[in-house]
Amino acid sequence: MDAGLGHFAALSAVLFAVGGFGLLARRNLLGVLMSAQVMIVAATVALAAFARFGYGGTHPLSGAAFAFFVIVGSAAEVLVALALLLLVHRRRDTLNSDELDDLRG
Amino acid sequence: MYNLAWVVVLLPLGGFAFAFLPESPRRVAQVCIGFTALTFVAAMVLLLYRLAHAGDNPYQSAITFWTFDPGTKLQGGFISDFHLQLGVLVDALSAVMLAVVSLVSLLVQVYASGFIQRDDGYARHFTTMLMATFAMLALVASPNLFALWVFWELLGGCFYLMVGHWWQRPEAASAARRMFLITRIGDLALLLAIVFLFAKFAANVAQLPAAGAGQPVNDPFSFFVMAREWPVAMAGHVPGSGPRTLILLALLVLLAAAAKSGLFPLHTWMRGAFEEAPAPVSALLSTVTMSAVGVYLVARMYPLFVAAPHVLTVAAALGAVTAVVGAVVALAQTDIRRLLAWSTTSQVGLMFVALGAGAYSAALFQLITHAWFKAVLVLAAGSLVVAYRTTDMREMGGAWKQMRTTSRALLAGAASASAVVLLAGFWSLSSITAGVLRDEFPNGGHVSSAIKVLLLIAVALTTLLGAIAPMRMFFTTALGEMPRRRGFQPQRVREMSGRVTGPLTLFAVLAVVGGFMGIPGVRGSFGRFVVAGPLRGGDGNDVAGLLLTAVLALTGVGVAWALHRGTLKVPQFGRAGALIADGLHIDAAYDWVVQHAVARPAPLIGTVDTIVRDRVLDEVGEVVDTAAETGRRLQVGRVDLLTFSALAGVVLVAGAVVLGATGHLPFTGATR
Repeated sequence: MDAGLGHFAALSAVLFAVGGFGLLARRNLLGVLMSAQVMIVAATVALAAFARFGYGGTHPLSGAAFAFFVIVGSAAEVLVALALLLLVHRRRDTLNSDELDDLRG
Repeated sequence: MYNLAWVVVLLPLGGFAFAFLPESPRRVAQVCIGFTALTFVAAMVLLLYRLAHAGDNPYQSAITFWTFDPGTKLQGGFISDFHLQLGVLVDALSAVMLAVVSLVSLLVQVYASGFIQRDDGYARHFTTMLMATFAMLALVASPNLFALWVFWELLGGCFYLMVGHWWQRPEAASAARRMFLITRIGDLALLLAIVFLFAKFAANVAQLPAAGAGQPVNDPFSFFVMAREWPVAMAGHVPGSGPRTLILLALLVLLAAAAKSGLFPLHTWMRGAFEEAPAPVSALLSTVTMSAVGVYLVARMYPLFVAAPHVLTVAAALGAVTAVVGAVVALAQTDIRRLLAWSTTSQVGLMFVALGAGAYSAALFQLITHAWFKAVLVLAAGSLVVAYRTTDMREMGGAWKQMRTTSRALLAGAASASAVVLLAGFWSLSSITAGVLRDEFPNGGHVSSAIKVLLLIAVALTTLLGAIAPMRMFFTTALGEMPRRRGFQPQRVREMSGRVTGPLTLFAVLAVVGGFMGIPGVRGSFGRFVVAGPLRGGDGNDVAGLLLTAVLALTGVGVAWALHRGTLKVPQFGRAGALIADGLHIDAAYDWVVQHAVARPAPLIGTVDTIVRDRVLDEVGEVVDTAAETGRRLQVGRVDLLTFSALAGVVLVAGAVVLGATGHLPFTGATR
């Protein structure tokens, strides 16, 4: 059985849902970050799939190019986010999001 | 050749820009004087060419700065009838005025370069004067009323700056402000006239015969178009307008002219402009710019006034009152600059009498001879004030010995101002008298004989009294005793440099011989050259006018001499004399009105402000504050809740988009 657009879309949706659940359910900021990455991957999969199956405009690689950019961007984002988390951990000795409510108005 | 008018108009503007390059103030003055000299040469060539081709049609060249596509019909074509054109118009009137304005400005600037102290304002004085010259030249050459209004405003602004030259002194700042505000009444009137004119006539312009060459669109403000418009409107062929429209329009134009020229009772700015401004500024202001511009406006709009002759009678009456009041009050002045201010007011009044009586060319002739002799008087007075360190004539005297050149110039100017026989002022004043006696109107006169007699009496009285004041000024300052007062050093009374006496002498020569073109019977004389459209041309003079003026003027001079010798005692009028000396308390009346009608109710506005506006603003602030206080409770600062609300938002938006795209959302059915 060949994998069609529907399979990839379903995969993307599942990944997005898993990531979203993790984003909401996790209390450890590291876990939240990982969940967010899963969601980004979901979007990337969708981009690549739609490009592959002919929704990517005139050039077949346009969606794939987006996917590459997203990967690079998310790698950079992880870098910054991990550095932030490291500093938060050093100062507060915790990464529990319930305790980090400094943005309260 | 007529394109030279562009050069005449634009040279001072270029000079104005150029004058900012040099660093030394002296060099700035030289640049300004140089550019004005070039302007004068160009204007003179233009005038001579125009004189040689006196039969030519008026030449017009305009640049359309703003126009609409002929296809557009904004507001039913109303707005799209507006075409902003700036340009030049050369006819006899503007050719003469261009030459006179640039000559007076040139000589005044040369005088100023020796007169103004090298204080902070030296460069500023010259650049502003050049700008004012540009404004006046462009105004004179304007081909339409809208462009005229633009430069009219520019002129007012320049003179606000120049009268307030010594702005550090509160009196000077106040005089400048007073002048600006009072002439502002005229500015407003002119603007109203323009709006009214546009509203009434813009739509009808298209029905007129095609405009002349060099005028691609039918500009409703063009003087030519307007001149063709008035008779049509008078005959009732323009829908929505008739004689009453023209009368209202003419009254607005007259009010504008009256405020700018300082007609009674809007003359009160004149005194401050003479007392507080430097002498060159007063000279420029009273000869060819501010005072003259009202006369010029009425002359330029003369076809309108001919169509609405009742307003001309109003102008004549206003001018007569101004002339008589000015001449009487000038008699009672001991301050040399105030005397000149009142004498200028009186002379301008005479010009309006001439305009009102239909003596169109006589008014303009008087405007030009007045420029010569008033420039002499004002500039000589400036030198005298500097030499004697006082403005009180009673403390001056003996200038004939110490300041011979200035005194001679003063004699020429005063005699010309008094209309002594054969001098410039005589020819112009007698042509005004003759004009009042006679009517230049083609339809045989519009002024009833009673009004005519009153006007004649006013002119005669002004001639008689107006001859006394300037001659008395000369006799007192030049021939009187050298004053003896503490701290006064007679040896310091001496001539200033040649840059001051040179222009004075030139003006004095002009004041003596500058009336040649008004001598009756001279070929190509003034009256033949400057002719209003519907009026018959003529020399504007006759024997009766000449004789009457000669007798009255010589009597006035004789009275002044007798007063000086003491054979005739100066009559004392007690309180009435004091009233006259103060200019009939009109300044005080204005102050009272301002105090009671403006200053008194002003705090009320503050109270309204506190009660109404502050409360409204406070309420707005309260609402914002409450909203913020409520809103901040939503910010709990929990990361998981933040992400949840973000995701919820995404789901909502995505859901709305999906539902909307599939047509399941209400109110979005049409977009599919």
